[in-house]
Amino acid sequence: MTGTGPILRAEGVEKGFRRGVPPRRRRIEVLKGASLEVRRGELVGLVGENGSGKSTLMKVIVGLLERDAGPVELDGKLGYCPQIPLLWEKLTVAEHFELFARAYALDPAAAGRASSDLLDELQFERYRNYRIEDLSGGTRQKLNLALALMHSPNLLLLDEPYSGFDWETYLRFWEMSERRRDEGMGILIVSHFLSERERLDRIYELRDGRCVES
Amino acid sequence: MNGRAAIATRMGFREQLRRPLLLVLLVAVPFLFISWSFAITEPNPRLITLPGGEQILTTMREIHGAIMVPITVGFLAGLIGLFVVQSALETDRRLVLAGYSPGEAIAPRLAVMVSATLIVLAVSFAVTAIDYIPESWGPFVVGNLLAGLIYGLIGAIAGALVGRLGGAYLMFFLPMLDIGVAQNPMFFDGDPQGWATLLPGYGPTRVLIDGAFSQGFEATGPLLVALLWLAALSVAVVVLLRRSLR
Amino acid sequence: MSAIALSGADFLREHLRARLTLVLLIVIPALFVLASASVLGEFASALGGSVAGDSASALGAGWAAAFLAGALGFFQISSSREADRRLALAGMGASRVAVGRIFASVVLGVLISVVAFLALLLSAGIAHPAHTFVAILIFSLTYIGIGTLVGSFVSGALEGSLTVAFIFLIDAFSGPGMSDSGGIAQVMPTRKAADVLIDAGAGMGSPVSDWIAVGLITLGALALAATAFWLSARPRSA
Repeated sequence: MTGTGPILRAEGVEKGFRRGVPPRRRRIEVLKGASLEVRRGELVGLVGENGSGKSTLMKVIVGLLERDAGPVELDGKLGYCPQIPLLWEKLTVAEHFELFARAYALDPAAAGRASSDLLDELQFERYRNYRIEDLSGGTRQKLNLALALMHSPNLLLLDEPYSGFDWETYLRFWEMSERRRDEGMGILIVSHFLSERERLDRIYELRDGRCVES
Repeated sequence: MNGRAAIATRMGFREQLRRPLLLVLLVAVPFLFISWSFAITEPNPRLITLPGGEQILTTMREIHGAIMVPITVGFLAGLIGLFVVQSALETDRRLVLAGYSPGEAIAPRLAVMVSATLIVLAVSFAVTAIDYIPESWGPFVVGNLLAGLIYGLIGAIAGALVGRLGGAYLMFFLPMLDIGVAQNPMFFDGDPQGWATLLPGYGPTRVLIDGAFSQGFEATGPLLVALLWLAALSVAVVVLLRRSLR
Repeated sequence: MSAIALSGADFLREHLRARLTLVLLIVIPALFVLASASVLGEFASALGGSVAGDSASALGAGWAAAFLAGALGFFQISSSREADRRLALAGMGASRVAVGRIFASVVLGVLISVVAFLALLLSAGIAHPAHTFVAILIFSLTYIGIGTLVGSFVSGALEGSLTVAFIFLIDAFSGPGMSDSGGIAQVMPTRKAADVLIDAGAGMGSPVSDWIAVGLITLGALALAATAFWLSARPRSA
C-alpha cells in the first residue's frame, strides 16, 4: 500500500454527447461537474435514476470514454467489471483467464492460483471448459467479475455487477466484496437497488450531472 | 512475437476455427461460383485489350471464370474484414484496458483476416485450374492476392466506421460493382474508362487479366497503383484501429 | 402491439441511425440499377439468356432490393432475439411478438422497395409503374423472409451475411433471362417475381397465374419468417 490518500479521486468531471443530425444537432450534458473519491478499505455506492449518467461516469473513470473536463486520479491497480459482459463467444472460461492473465502480466503460477480461487469462490468451477456461448447470463457475469479481480486490484469498479445472479450468488457476491473491502480494497459499485444502502460505507447520488454524498 | 500478441493470435484463430459454418462457406462459395461461371457461360468469342495494348481473342466463358475469382475473393475478404474488426473492437477494448497495447490487440485480428483471405484464394485457384489454366500464374496469383488484401482492408475500415448493416451492404456491393462491372472486360472494349481507374479494383484486376491471358507482363503501372492502395489502406487501418482501441 | 411497434422503430433507428447506412440504402440501388441497365443485357447473353434494356434495369432494381431486404431481415432477427424472448415471457406471448415483428418486416420491405423503385424511376424511367413496384416489393418481402429464416438458424453476423449473399447469388445467377432456364432455376424463390418484373419493365402485363404464384410465394416467405420469429421468441426450457 502506498499512501493513505484516496485510491480514486475524480474532480468536477464533465461529459457531454452530441445527438441528432444537423440542423437539429444538440449537445446533451450528462456529467456537469461530478466529483467523488474512494479510499482504501471502503465500499462506496454510486446510485441514481436510469439515465443519470452512472455508467458514463464509470466509463470515464475507467478510460473507456474521454471526459471533457475534470481530472481523474488513480493511485493503484484498477479492476473493471462492465455492465454487459464483454466476452468472446467462442472461447472458453479457461481461455478467457489465460488471455487476461497475459494482459495483466501475471506469471502462469499466479494466474493459475487466481483463476482457481475465483472459480471456487464464485462457484462456477464446473464451467471451466465451457464456451461462453453455452453459458447462462448469470455465469457469464460471474466470469465478468472474476476477470476484474484476477490481478488483485487496489480499486474495483463494478457497474451493476449482479444482473442474472440468483439469490445465493448475490449473497456470496456481497460476502466477497465485504471481505475484500476489509482487506483494504476500495470498491465503487454502481447500483440502483435502494435496499443495499446498509451494506455500503458511503453513497454518492448522481443528480443533475453532479455527485451528492448522502 | 511477444507473449501477448502470440496468445491473442492463437485465441483469434481458435475463435474462427470453432465456426464450422464459416469454414464451409469459405470453401463452398468460391468453389460454387467459380465453377458455375465456367459451366454456365457460353463460349462466345470476345476480343479484349490487355494491359500494354495487345488485343487477344478469347471467350466470354474464360473471361467470366477468370473475373469471378477476384469478385468472390473481394466480397468474401471484405465481409470478413468488416465483421472480424467489428466484433474485435467491442471486446478487445477490455484487453487494452487490462494491459494490452492497441498494436498487440490489432495484429492478431489482421492475421486472422489475412489467413481467411488466403484460404479463399487457395480454393479459388484450385477450382479455376480445373477449367482454365492462366497463361502465367504469377501475375494471376498476385493480382488476386492484391484484390483480397485491398478489399479486406476496406472491410476493416468499414468495420470501424460503419454499422453492421451498412457495412454488409457496402462490402457486398462495392466489389460487385467495382470488379464485377467497372473492371470487367466482358462489358467494355479497350481499357477501363477514366473513373474506373480510380477504383480500388483497377490495379489488381488489370494485373490478373494480364496473367490470365498473356505470357508476358505488361501491367507494371496497375501493379504500382495496387501497391499504393495497399500501403495507404494498411496505414489507414492501423491508425483507425489504434484510435478506436485507445 | 405498440411495444412491438416501438421496438421495431428502435431497430430501425439503431441500424439506420448511422448516416452512412442511410446513404448506402439510397446510393446502392441507384448504382445497381444504372449498372444493370448498361451491362445486364450483355451478361445475360453471355449466359445464354436474353434481357432487353428496360427489363434489365428493372431486374437490377429488384435484385438490389432483394439483397438489402435479405441482410435487413437477417440482422433484425439476430439483434432482437433476446428482447423478443423477454417480451414474450413478460406476457405478450410468442405469437403476438411474431406478428408484430412480421408487421415491422413488411414496413421495412416497403421502405426498401420504395427506394429501389425511385432509383429505377429516376435513372431509367418505368413503362408499367404499378406492376414494377409490386414486383420489386415481392422481391423485398421474399428476401426479408429468407433473411429471417437464415437468422433463425445462423447466429454469427459474418456467417449470416455470407449465407444470405450465397442464396442471393445463386438466385440471381439462375434467374429468368440470365441462363437458358434449366433445373434449379425453376425452384428459386424469386423466379416468378423476376418474370413479372421483366414483363413490367418491358411495359407488358403478366398472366394472372404469374400473379397468383407470386402472391403465394410471398405469403409463404412471410409465413416462414413469422414461424422463425415465433420459434425464437419462445421461452427456453433450460
